[in-house]
Amino acid sequence: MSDQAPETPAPSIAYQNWLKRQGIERRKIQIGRLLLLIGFLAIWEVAPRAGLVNPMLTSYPSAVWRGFFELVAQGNLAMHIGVTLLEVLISFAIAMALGTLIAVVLWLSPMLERILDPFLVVLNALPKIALVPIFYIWLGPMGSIYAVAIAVALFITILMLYTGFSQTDPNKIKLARTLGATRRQILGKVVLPGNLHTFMATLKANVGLSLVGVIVGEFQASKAGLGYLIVYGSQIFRMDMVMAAIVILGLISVAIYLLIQSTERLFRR
Amino acid sequence: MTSATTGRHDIVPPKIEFRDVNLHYFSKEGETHALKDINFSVAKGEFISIVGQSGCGKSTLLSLLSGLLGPSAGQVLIDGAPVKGPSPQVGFMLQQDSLFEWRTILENALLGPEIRGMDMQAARERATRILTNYGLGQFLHHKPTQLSGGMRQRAALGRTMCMEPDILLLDEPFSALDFQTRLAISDEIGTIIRREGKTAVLVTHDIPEAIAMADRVIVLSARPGRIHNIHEIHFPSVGPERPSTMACRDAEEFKDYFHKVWTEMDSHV
Repeated sequence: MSDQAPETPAPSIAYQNWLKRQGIERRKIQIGRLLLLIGFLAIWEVAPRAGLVNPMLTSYPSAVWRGFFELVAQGNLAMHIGVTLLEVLISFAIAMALGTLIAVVLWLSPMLERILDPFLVVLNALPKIALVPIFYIWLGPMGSIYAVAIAVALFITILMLYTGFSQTDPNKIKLARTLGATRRQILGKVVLPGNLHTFMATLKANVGLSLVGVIVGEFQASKAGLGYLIVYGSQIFRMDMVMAAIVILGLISVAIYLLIQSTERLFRR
Repeated sequence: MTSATTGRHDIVPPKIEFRDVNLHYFSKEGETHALKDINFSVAKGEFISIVGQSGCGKSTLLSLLSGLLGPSAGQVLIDGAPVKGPSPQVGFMLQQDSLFEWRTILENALLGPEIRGMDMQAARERATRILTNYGLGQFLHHKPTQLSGGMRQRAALGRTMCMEPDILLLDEPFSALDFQTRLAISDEIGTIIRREGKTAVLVTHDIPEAIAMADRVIVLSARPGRIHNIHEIHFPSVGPERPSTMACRDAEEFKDYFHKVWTEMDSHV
C-alpha cells in the first residue's frame, strides 16, 4: 500500500515474548476444543457399550460411522444430500431476494412501512412451522417444503434489513441530500453500500433458518432428503441412520456459513 | 453596505440575503418558533460567523441556505433568486466528516459529481488536483479509516470543493477534532476559503473560532432565534491585510471582540 517500504525496527525481546505467549494461548484454545470434541465422542461411545444408557436410544459414534457408510453403499446418500441442499439453496435465495426487495420498497415508502409494520411484526412472531399442514394441502409435498423454508426466512430478512436501512447514519444521508441526492440515489449510494454488514448478518441467520424450514418441510412430506432420512430412520428405529443424517446437516450448515464468511472477507478488503 | 452600484443603474444583489425569515417547526409535542424576523445579507467573498446558544436555530439558518428546509415566512435569496432546494453552487460541510468508509478518499470526493451526473473524467481530474493541493496526494486510494481526524476533515473539504461551489456553509466542521488539530485545520481551511474567494457562513459555538475566521460575527439570541447583534471584525494592529486565523488569535483586538461577543451571549442564557 505505502509508496516506500517502511523501515521496521527489529522487534524487541519483550515483544517477541508477548507474541510467543499469544501463540501459546491460541494453541491452548485449539487443544481445548479438540479435547472437548474427543471427550464427547468418547463418552457417547463408551456409555452405551458399558450399559449406562440404552444404545437403542442413543446409538454410538462407531455405529453412526458404519451407518454412514451403509448409506453411501446404498448409493443414495449423495442424492438425499443433493435434494436437501438444492431445496435449501433455492429457498434461501428466494427468501433473500424477496426480503431485500420488500425491505427496499418499505424504505422507499415510509407510509407503506407504517401501514404494514404491525402485520410484519405478527407474521415474524408467528411460528411458521404451524403453517406446514396448510402449505401441504395448498401446495403439495414439494411446494410445501419451499413454502415453509421461505416463510421461515423471509420475515426475519425483511425486518433485519429494514432495521439496518433505517439505522443508516443520518449524517451521511444529510450529506447526500446537501449534494442534491434523490431518495433513490440515497438508497443506492448510502443505504445499500452502508449496510453490507447487515446484509451479511442476514445471510448468516438465513442459512440456519432455511435449513430449519427445509427439514421441517421434509418431515411432513417427502420421498427424499436428509429430513426424510431422519424420519424414516426413526420410524424403523435405526438411530445410527438418524444421527448420521444429523451430523451431515451440521456439516452442511458449517460449510455454507464458512462460504458466506469468506465472501464477506472478500468484500471487506 | 453589501450591495454595490455598477456604472449603470442596475444593482448587483448581495450573494446571500435573508428577508424577514421566520421558521416554525411542528412536532407531536407542539410548535416551535425557531427563527424570528431574520434579516441580513452577505457580500460576495465575505466570511461570516454565526454564534449563539445551542438550540438558537443557527444550524437551521444553514439548512435554509442549503435548501434542505424552506422558510415558513420571508425569503432566502442567493444572487437575488429564492433558494429552491440543494444546488451545486452551495457546498455544505457538516459537523462529522461523514466520509463513506466503503469508498476511497478519491471516490468520496467524487460523490457529488456522481449524484449530479457531472462529467466524471473532468471531476476525477479536479478531485485529484484539489486533494493533492490539500496534502492528500499520497492518500487518494486510501480508505477514510486509514486517515487522521485532520486529514479526514481536509478530505471532506475536498469533497465539498469538488462541486466548485461559490458559497460554503460550515456547520461546526471542526468540533469533532481534538483541540490541537482543530486550531491547525481551522487555520488551514480558513486560508483555503479566503484564497479561493468563496463566500462562507460558519456556524459555531466556539467564540474564538468565530472571531478569528470571520469578517463579521452574527450573534443570535436564544429561541426563537433572532439577530441580537452583528460585529464587524477588523485587526488594524496587524496591518491592512486580513491576518491568518492563527495571527488573529494573537492580535490585541481579539480579546475585546471576545469579551463583547461573550457578554452578549451570556446575557441571553
